[in-house]
Amino acid sequence: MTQPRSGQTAPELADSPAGPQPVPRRPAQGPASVAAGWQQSPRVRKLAVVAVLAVTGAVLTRHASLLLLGAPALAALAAFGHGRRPAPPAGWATVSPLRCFEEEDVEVIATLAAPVDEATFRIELGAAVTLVEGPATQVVLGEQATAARWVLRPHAWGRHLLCAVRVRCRTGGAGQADLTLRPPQVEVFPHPPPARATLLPADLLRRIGDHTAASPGAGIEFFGIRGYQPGDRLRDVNWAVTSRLGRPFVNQRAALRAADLVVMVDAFSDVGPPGDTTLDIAVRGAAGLATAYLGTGDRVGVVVLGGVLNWLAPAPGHRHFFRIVEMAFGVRFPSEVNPDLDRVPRTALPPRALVVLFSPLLDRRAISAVTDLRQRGVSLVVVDVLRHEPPVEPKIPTSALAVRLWRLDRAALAASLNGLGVPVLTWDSGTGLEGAQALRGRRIGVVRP
Amino acid sequence: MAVATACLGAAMIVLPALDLPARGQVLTVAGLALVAASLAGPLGRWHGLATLAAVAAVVGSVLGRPGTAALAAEGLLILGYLLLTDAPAAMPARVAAQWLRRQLPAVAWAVLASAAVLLVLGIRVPVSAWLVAAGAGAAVAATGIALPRRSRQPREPR
Repeated sequence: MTQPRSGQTAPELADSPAGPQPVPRRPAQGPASVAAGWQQSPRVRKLAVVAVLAVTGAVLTRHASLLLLGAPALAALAAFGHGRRPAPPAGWATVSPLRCFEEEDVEVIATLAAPVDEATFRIELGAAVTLVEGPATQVVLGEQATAARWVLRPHAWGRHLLCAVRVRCRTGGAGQADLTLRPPQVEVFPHPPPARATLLPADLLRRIGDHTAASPGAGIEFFGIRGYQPGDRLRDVNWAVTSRLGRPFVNQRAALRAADLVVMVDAFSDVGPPGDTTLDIAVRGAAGLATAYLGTGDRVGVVVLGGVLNWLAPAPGHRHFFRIVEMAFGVRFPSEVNPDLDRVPRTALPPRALVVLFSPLLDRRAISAVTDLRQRGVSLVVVDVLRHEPPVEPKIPTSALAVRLWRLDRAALAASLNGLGVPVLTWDSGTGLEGAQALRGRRIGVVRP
Repeated sequence: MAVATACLGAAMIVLPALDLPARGQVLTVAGLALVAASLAGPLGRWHGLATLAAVAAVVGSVLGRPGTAALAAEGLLILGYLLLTDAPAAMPARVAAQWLRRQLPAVAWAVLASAAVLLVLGIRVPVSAWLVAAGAGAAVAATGIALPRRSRQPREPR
């Protein structure tokens, strides 16, 4: 699978079995707002207060000239009240496209069903969403325009409401109605960081793939030499060795095998600022690895360790990436339940698969799951996605010491996992996964208990 | 727009303050503070502040009793200030100009009303029983015209 290019939206990739093909974007319309009734505007109340006060002052003080204070307000009230009152305003908000990657632009258009004299559209952004184009508050007057447009940029994956649009309608200066337009939810796919399919289990599958196996076969890479046997191809003869030893030798090539990758996401902990939480980073990393391995023809599955244990059996193909990510949309689910890995079927966790767990290593349940997997003999790699340390409070004298102890505790945890044969990679989400992978040897050994 | 609102608000407060006694200047200070608060600060969105500033101006006029022309100007200033404080925030210049044009009919009606009141105040009318009777008749006629009429039921066919 090719790396999704910037500007290419998820539906375009998902609906293209033979590669990315353009699909016409269809704007999606949110639920129609509840029709709001007209009420008196604050302007009317203000003018009425001034008029009543002026007339009362004129009557009480018997000073008729004080009527001059209230006369303009009364005349303006009469002018505003003139004319018929239209039907209660209604409207809707549309979003285009409905599915996108992080950091891609999304267009939001709020529309009123019927024109009003004056409409003020104010957009309220959700968490981890920035306004790219259009002022936050837009005022449209008269019959010519009843819509407002914005371009938003989501920074966090998930299925969420990007914004809400508050509309204040006025008619004739006297009537006012407020309504809220909610566009439909948008599926924001995590932007996969650059990654390569370099982490491999010690035992590759028998299926033909792109990875060089530790056994002779019909691959490309040099594996070794052996004595010539009848049936060997002449072009495989190693002439240098043959001439030196006086009998024919042939080159052997390494076999090309496929691998199964199971990405595990630890959804027990979710700490950090919105859009950059450990769960956000974990799902981004999972998407990056899935993209890389699916691109080399491997099968990729996913298991979510969270309140509800979810899994997706390994499968190849472009579309599987979106199945994986869509399943990850439901991982934000706080729970106190311990995951029972026995419930994961064998098809979802094949015995010779490489398991990569993205976890901040903060929850004991995730750490016990690691131990459990290791005791089953699963090839396992842990990617630590915790980026932020606990802040040091200058007012508390023992705070710095506590943070230091916390660091030591994490180092001890990583060392104990290493002792179990589980490498722990530290990944800064600002870079690609390749940097973290490069620190590690290619093959992750399997220690049978 | 905010500058124009501030100018109108300040003028609305200062104009009656010229005739106020020294003790009444407290009202001027309070009015100016209300005008400033209605334009900026966290309370700016609350419409009651602008109303309170206008009330301060009216009370100042009642206490100071300036001349007729000053009262007419004061009424128009109060109207202008209240209209501008009600303008939507963050309007581009083109939309602001369009919005101001839409307020012109109300302002024109206000000017006409002020002129009419000024005219009426300028006329010396002698006390007359005929005039009282004519006024009462006009009031009765206006009430009869303004009240909604009961819709007539259609006659049933025989």
